[in-house]
Amino acid sequence: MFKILLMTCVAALALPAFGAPAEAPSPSLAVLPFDNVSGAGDAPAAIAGLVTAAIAAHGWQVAGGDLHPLLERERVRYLDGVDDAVRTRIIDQTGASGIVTGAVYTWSAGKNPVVAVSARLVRADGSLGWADVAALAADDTERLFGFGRRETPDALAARVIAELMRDFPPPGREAPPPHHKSFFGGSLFGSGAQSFRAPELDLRTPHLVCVLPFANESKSPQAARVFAEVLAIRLAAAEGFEVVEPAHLRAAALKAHVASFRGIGTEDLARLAASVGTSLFLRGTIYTYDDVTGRGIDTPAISVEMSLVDAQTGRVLWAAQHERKGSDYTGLLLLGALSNAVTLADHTATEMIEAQGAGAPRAAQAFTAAREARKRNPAEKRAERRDARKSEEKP
Amino acid sequence: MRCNAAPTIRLTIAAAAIVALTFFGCRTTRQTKYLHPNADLGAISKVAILPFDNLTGERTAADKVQKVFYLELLTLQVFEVTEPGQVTKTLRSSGVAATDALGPADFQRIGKELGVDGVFLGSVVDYSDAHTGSTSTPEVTIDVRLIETQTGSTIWSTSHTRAGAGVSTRLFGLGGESLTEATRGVVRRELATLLK
Repeated sequence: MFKILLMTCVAALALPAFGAPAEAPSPSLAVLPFDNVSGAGDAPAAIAGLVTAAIAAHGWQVAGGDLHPLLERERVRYLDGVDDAVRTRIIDQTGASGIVTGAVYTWSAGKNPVVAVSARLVRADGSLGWADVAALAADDTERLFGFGRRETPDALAARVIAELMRDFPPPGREAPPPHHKSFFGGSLFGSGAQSFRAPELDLRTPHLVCVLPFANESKSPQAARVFAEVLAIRLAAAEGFEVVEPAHLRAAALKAHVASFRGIGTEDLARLAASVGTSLFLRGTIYTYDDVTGRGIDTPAISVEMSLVDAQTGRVLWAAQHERKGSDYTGLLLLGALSNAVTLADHTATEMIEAQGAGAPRAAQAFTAAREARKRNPAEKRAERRDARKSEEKP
Repeated sequence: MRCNAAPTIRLTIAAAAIVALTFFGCRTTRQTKYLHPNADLGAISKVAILPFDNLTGERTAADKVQKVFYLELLTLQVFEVTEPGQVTKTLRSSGVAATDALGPADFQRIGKELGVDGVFLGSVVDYSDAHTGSTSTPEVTIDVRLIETQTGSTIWSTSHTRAGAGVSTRLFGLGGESLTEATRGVVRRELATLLK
């Protein structure tokens, strides 16, 4: 009797393995080759391997096959993003649920190696599923008594990718809201971002913003690209903003015959607005971008300004300026200073977005009130005269 | 008697030295201002900021200072400020290469094209950052004027200089301001004279 019962139990346990339908394979993602801004030839391949492994660890399958022939056939020159048509073809060919793109900003060896990477997940429908940026210098990895220090870019890259992909969403889940990893919660030195926000920019409803390439007045050729991309990532995560895909902007510029964005006029922006689907354009200038990878620089520094223009009305809705040094974040025991320019760009961009902007000073309010009163006076006087005339006309 | 007097003299000299260091060794600010006697600033509601002149050796000084001025003017919320791209396009189409060559007739025409009541013009005279030890001692001089586009005449003009380090920086080496912070301080003081 006991044997029969045991056999029945074993059969019951074994049945689902044979009889039940097989589980659906986990959804997959296509990983595009990472754009190489760093100039180090071997960086993208090393990063791609780490990113692929991290994606798999989050429960996704990585769509197999070499995407290079498809990208060549579609004449994809920029790897920071692809337009709707190319994305659809990649999805169709690979059967993926989304694509992952990214860029290697820094990959430097030397005494204090630095690695900086950004990545984005774009869903099949074109919406942004997740985006983040991470950067570390070898000094950041050093623990008590100098242990644990990652001495080479390859060793450092593993830590950077682990940091980057920490909040990567598993299949069927949304990415958690981004958070800052500031050692002491912020900067102790230096003033905050200076900012102006027009009252009509209501952030309770999302605004689609097109980030134009920034003008670069710094000595670093990649400064404008790195800062604009980091800003776009943080802006997309912030409340009240959605960001136009870079590939979409490039296609719109071609269509509108806009060759350069430097000093672009409001009329040209209005022409672009129709194609990109928004009249809000964010543009700016990088004045300083010093990284520790440069000679004789011991702390990174950034100085930047930007303004959000409504091409439809020709008005500036938001303007901000900020400058920071890595040493501004130094806290107790001389800890917390930011070690590299990409991390500093991340903090600077976030602080600019978070700056609410001071209200008009009292003197300005008084000036405006006095002017309004003066404007009202002539009308009041005319009304008084009219009333007086009427009363005189009456018998 | 001599023994008692010596420490008093020494103390007096030390106190005098501290006072001298505090008052003569700290930051200097100089300002001049002109306001047209018949100016009606209340009549100006929409303005444009033309590119600033650069009289310094720093290549980007004029652009940086103009951007600081622009943001500070926006923050006041006193004037409606024309978008810089529109100004650039208008100047480019008018063939204006340097703003210092513009005359009253040009200002009237620019005013009409941009639809503004006034234009701000500026010159960056000094823009340098010296270092005393580890502290930064910026020197900034900015001239700004407001031109009424209806007549093409200057109705407000000011010049402000800020040089040297503050007291806390001199005495304790703390809180040295950056060149941008010094510029912002100068611009705020200049704009304050406009509102008085």
